[in-house]
Amino acid sequence: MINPALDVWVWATCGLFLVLMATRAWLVETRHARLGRTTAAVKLLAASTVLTLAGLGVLLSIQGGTLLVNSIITKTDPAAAYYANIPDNTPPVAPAPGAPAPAAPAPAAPAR
Amino acid sequence: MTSTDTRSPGDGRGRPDDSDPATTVMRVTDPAATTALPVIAPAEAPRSTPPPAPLAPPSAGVFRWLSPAFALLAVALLPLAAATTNPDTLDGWGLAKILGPAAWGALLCAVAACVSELWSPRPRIPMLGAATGVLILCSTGLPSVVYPVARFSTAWLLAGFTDSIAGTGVTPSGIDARFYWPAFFAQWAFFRDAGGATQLDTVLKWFPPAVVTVWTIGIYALARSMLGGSRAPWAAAWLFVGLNWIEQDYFSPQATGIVLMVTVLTFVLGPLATRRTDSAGVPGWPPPHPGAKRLPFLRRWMVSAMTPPNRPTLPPRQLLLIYFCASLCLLAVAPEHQITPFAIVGQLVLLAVVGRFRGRGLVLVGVVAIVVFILIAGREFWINQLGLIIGSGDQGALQEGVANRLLGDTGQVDVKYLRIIVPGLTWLLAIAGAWTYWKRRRDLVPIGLAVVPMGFAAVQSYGGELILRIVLYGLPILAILGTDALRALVRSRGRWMEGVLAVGMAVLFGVLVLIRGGNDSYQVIYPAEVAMYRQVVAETPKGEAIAPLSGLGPTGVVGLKDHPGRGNNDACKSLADEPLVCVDADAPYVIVSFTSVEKEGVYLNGRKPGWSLAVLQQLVASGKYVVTHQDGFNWALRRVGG
Repeated sequence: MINPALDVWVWATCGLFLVLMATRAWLVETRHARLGRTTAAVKLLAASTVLTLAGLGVLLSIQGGTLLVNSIITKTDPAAAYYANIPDNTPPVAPAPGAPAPAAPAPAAPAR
Repeated sequence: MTSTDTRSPGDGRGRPDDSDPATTVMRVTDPAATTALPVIAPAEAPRSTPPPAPLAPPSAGVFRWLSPAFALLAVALLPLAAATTNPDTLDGWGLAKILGPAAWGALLCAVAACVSELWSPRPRIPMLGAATGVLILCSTGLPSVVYPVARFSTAWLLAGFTDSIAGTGVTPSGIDARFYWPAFFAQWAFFRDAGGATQLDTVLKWFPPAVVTVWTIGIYALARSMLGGSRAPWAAAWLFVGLNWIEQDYFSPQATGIVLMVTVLTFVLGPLATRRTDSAGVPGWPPPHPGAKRLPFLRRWMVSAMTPPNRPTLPPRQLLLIYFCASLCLLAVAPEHQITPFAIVGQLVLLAVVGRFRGRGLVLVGVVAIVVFILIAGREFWINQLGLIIGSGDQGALQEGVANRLLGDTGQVDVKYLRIIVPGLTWLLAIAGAWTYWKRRRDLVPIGLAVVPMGFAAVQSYGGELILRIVLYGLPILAILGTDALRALVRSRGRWMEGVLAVGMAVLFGVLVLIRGGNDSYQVIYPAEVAMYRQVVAETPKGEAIAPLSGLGPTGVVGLKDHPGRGNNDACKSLADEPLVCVDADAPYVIVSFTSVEKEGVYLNGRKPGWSLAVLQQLVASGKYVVTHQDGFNWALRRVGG
């Protein structure tokens, strides 16, 4: 069940993942390590990154991933499931009326 | 033998054959005084004459002035070209037919400026850069020079998207699916507000040559890494410009997406590039002992895959800065455009699998950026319009992108065939280049980078645009491989081939102008049209719909938030198809039409000249509409009774 209020945790986990990746890159590139050896700090950061990534995966699957994959596999409309389960009972967001396809028509394509 | 080898056979004889030449030029003034070391007879008598002076660099001669003169002449001809080009006479052949001698002369001079500097014994990088800029201005930028305002209705519509965000900073909902990737519009809305401007007309006009210049800088940097040499990278940049007929360089998220994509590619194939090598630096994984039996295929690949790539010879802080910039580009491209992130991540995955760059975490950053953005920020999009992501399955991309577009008069159809032929020839040239690259470096990864975007056709629906994107995303690599093939051709055939290629370059850029301007009869926009539309919007009450007769002209450049369009109506996709029937079903408050709509009907859809005025008369005669503006083929109607 998607809860939009939980999105903030997804963004936070995503930010944490980037911070961990950056810190690990800093350690790997600036510390002199023997060939073939990985320092304990780098190992710790790598494990933390993997854990964060796993957490992010779980959050993403809860916040829409499962619904999206399900809808693609079963070729069903995700809108019905989504609007039926919004926890705060806010009125469903109307589908963009007549929203065109995402692509801008290429003017000079072998066009039209 | 090295200079540290002080061993001697002990018999007082030296080993002149084994001595280091570097030490033999040292003059031994008094051998008896250096008793601690064995005396080694000099291999040759000390030179009495001074060493010859280094060769003087070749004189540039006439080439010193040739390229600047051609470049200046090209620029000087541009105002004349603008003054002698009349957009009113555009027909199905587009821009190329109405250009006068001055415009073609400017293009030839620009080509000559590039070629003459490349032929110079001492090519100057600033001059080559300036000549390339002039070449872009005289080819890609020619429409910006000769037309009064930017062409392409889509560019004006995207400026309207920017306009709807400017001021409030809030993305409107329910208008267009492209707003779900709002970075480009928000960025320009910010620039517009910060600059105190009220419209972006000038930016729209000069955006194509400016952004192609940025792309070309990226291609040059990429080619320097992949081809080496001092001349080939410039040839690659020109080949890219000459083959870039796809025209996604108008004011659009796609154009900025390509900038970000080329930047990341430049990083990973340049400063971050590495290869899996053994400890001696030999690419690949040689057998453990000479003559030993080779390992099984699968095991060789496993060993290769698990061998970490070498570390680039860069200081750590520079590496970290490059990681940061590449990550920033990957994070920025996710909300910028729908499919560009997939292209760059696909290429990064390929490069990571074959171990061609350091910093494989960049792939993770790119994947996380795409997944998080689409699932969370784009939730409303995929929940409501999932079919657009996974494809409707109605028509294949090939059918939609090529076959369905072969419409129009003779000029239109011929130009469209050229648009099919040119990418075909591009791929043929690139395959020849891939063969050359393979012979030179035993490497097939570059052609793989151009193939990766083809995966889109299998997994994404992007309508008829997908074929264009596949060509566009592969073009940087295709142009570089093509240059490698041309370089091998020149080396094998001799210098006369350079003259042939120079002529070919002039022909290629002529064809480029023809192809790019092929739709200009209905894609050119006039200031009067823009002014009329802005006035119509100003006079229309908020909330009332403004609908174009056909989706051309500067429709939507302002007032998108306040004036909804007709939306997607399957029964009546365009008012121009069945105007009275469509109006009966859903009568918009205002209907507008432009000269471009009239010309689209004539040159693309085979209607009789004046058909849009006939529609105007029908609508007025129906009693439902009255004319509020009319100037030639530009007109606006307002619904009777509000």
